[in-house]
Amino acid sequence: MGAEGGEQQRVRAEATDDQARNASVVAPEPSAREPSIVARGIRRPHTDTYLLILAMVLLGAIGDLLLRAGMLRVGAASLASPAAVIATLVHAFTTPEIWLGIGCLILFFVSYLLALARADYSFVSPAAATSYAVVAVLAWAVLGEVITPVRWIGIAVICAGVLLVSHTPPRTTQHH
Amino acid sequence: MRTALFLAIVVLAGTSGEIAVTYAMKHVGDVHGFAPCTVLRALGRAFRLPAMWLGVALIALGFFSMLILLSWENVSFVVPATSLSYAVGALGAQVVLGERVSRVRWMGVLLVILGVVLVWLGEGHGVG
Repeated sequence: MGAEGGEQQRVRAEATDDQARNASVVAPEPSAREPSIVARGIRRPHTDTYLLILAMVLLGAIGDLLLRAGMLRVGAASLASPAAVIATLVHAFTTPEIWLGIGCLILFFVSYLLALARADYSFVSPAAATSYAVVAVLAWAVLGEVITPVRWIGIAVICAGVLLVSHTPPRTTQHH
Repeated sequence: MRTALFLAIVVLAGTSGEIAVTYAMKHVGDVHGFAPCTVLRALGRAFRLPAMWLGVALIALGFFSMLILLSWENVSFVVPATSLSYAVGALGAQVVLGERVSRVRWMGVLLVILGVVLVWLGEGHGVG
């Protein structure tokens, strides 16, 4: 309990005092790589991290749905013969949804890399699990899939987990 | 047996790949702003590190093992099972990268796993 209390306190302190955050969470680094004073004034140090995680969640979810919609058009993959496999691949790669989906997933991976440059792996990875909830809700809204009560509970539990993770400091390691 | 083996490959290759990639990106340091040339330069620097290539190769191995697994087993088994990656990843981040995974963060990770399991157990039949 003690550790958690300390954590909460630290999070609150960060929210109210940017300078304290700079001193406690992000190990102070002399000049060069620090953002300019202007940049630090208009946004908090981890705003970029949250934006990148948001981008990951949306790009990952949209990419997933595009690939799913594309593969629905291609139909069940046949592994019967090498020719059938090639035909399936050709069909898949001439479907626009597939390319758009791959584009989204490439941008997803770039956002992931940039987020990992700023924050902990053990922060970014569970926080990005929000995409499971977004995929389910988008599949319901766009593809007309049914969401069962158990699924809604799962979505709520994921969100609760992400909320807990987001209450920990995004970065706990030293800067190089 | 082969399912268990491939599940282990998916989880271990995926998480160790992401840990290697995290190590490389931390080495590159903070990237300020989202200007395409800034981002490309940072990625260029990352891809000069062996850890980055190792990480991408392991992630690719995990991804293709996942595809093979999906050809044998139902998605509603594969996705919840591979959500174990969140726990293995948090443990690896703690041990290898020295990240401080507090009790609150562990609880969050465990809730995420539980949630992913529920989302896929409760999978409804798609209505076109």
